[in-house]
Order: sequence, then C-alpha cells, then structure tokens
Amino acid sequence: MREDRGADIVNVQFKKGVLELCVLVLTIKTDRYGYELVSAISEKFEIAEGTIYPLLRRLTKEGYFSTYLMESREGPPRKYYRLTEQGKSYAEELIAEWKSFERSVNKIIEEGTPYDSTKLSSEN
Amino acid sequence: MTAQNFLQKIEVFLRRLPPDERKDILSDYEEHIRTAVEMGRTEEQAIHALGDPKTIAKAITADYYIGVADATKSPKSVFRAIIASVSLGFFNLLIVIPPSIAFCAAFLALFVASLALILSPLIAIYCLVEGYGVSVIFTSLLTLGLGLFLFSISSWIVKKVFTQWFVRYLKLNIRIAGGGIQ
Repeated sequence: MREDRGADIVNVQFKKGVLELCVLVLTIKTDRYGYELVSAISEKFEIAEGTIYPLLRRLTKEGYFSTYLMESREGPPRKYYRLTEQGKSYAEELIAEWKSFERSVNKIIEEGTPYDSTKLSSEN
Repeated sequence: MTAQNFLQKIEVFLRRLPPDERKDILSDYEEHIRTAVEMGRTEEQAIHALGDPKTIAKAITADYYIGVADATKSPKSVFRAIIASVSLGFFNLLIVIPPSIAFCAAFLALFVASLALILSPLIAIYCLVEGYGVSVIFTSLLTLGLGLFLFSISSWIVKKVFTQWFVRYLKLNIRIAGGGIQ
C-alpha cells in the first residue's frame, strides 16, 4: 500500500530483535514484573507497550523465562519473570551478537565520515 | 477507551484461543493497566501506550498457532497457523500463499499418486474380465504394495519434513512481518 513498506518491515524486525535483547538483559540482575520491563524500555525508546507481553509469553514458552506471582505492597500479586539458565546463555549470545553488529556499523560510519576517518588515521 | 473496553476487545479478538490461554493473556494486560494507574498514569494514557488491541491480539493468535503447529507437526495445525499468519496482513498474504499452495499441492500429489497405486488391483480385475492374462494380477499386487509404501512414506514426509520446514518458515515470517510493533 505504501512505498516505504519495505523499510518499515526492516525496521520492525530490527526493533523486535532489539526488544528481545533488552527484555532479557533487564532481567539478568533481578527478576522483574511486566510493567517494570515495559516502562524501563519505553523510557528509552518509543514502542507500542502492548507488544512486550506477546514477546514475554514467547520467551517464557521457549524456556528462557520462568514466571511466579508475588504480592505487591499496593495490592494484588504481580507476575515476575525470572531468567532461566537457558535464558542467561541466550542473553549472552544476543549481547555478543549485538556487540559485533555495533562494531560493524561503527566501522562503516567511521569509514564513511570524512572528519572521523582523518581523526582515526591520525590516532593510528 | 476505558480499561474494560480495551480488555473486552482483546478478549473478542482472542476468541480462537483456548480459554486458559486467553485468561492468562488478559490478566497480563489487566495487571499492566492496574500497575500503570498505581504509578500515577491515567487509565486512558496506559491504554493508549499499549497500542491497538486488534494488532496485539492478532500477533498473539499467530504466535499461538505456530507454537501448536511446532509442537504437534500435524497438517491441520499447520493450516491453522497459515490462516493466523495470513490474517496478520496483506504483506504476509503474498509471502505465505505461494509456499502454502506448494505445501498443499505436494501433499495432494503424493496422496493421489499413492491412492491410484493402491486402487490399481481394480484395474487388474477389469483387465482380467476383458481377457488379459493372469500376470496383470501379480503386477497389480506389486503396484498395490508400492502404493501402500508410497502412502506411508508420503504421510511421513508431510508430517516430519514438510511441517517442520514450513513451521520454521512461518516463524521467520512472523518475526519479519508479524508482531504488533507499528
């Protein structure tokens, strides 16, 4: 329908991958409940907040999260997400992938930006 | 839209899911809205930030059926997964339809071929009546055996190989085009 549909799709796929990484990383140090995860991410970049929950369900089904309910001070219990051992190693895998991706993009930017490339050659 | 409104919409759009699953999903969104209000947002704000309930529900439905297809590997569950993925949007339609047709065609071709071979003794009986030699009977028994063999092979292929491959393809497709991220 729209000309930029292709670009949108790449964008969506990219965002989804990044969201998966973020959700996993946010639970490495501590178990978190859904709202906490959503707001931690939506503080940093714009998302349709409702999309985090299908993602959490999928990651739980795939065995990367286990869930449990815990009472909150404010009222009814909340569902907490805990990273499983499998989830931890998956998170590490994704982090490594992201870092190598980031390095590659940085390299392209450095090589493509005249100012930065002269700075780079003077540093070497 | 009120919280009740939003949850009702999700519930309606998730009608194809088993009740347990649906209840689980609804409680997630209920909890989210409740917590958002506790944290000082208005209900309206929280719902607006969640996004379109229809888009969310479609993504969940497709994810669910692909999960089922992946677990059972039955042709029926694969067809359901196909339909759910197609409902995600026009782009998906273009991507999903050609391999779906190929999937069905391959399944049909194997089925028809093995059926024809299994029914070949009937032709042999006809030939016998028409006055051909007894040897056609032996030939037909051979083709019958071949038909049964082909039938079991083809159902095995459909079950294991095709379904597995196709579910993987659908998953990839969902990850690219699906989801509720606008």
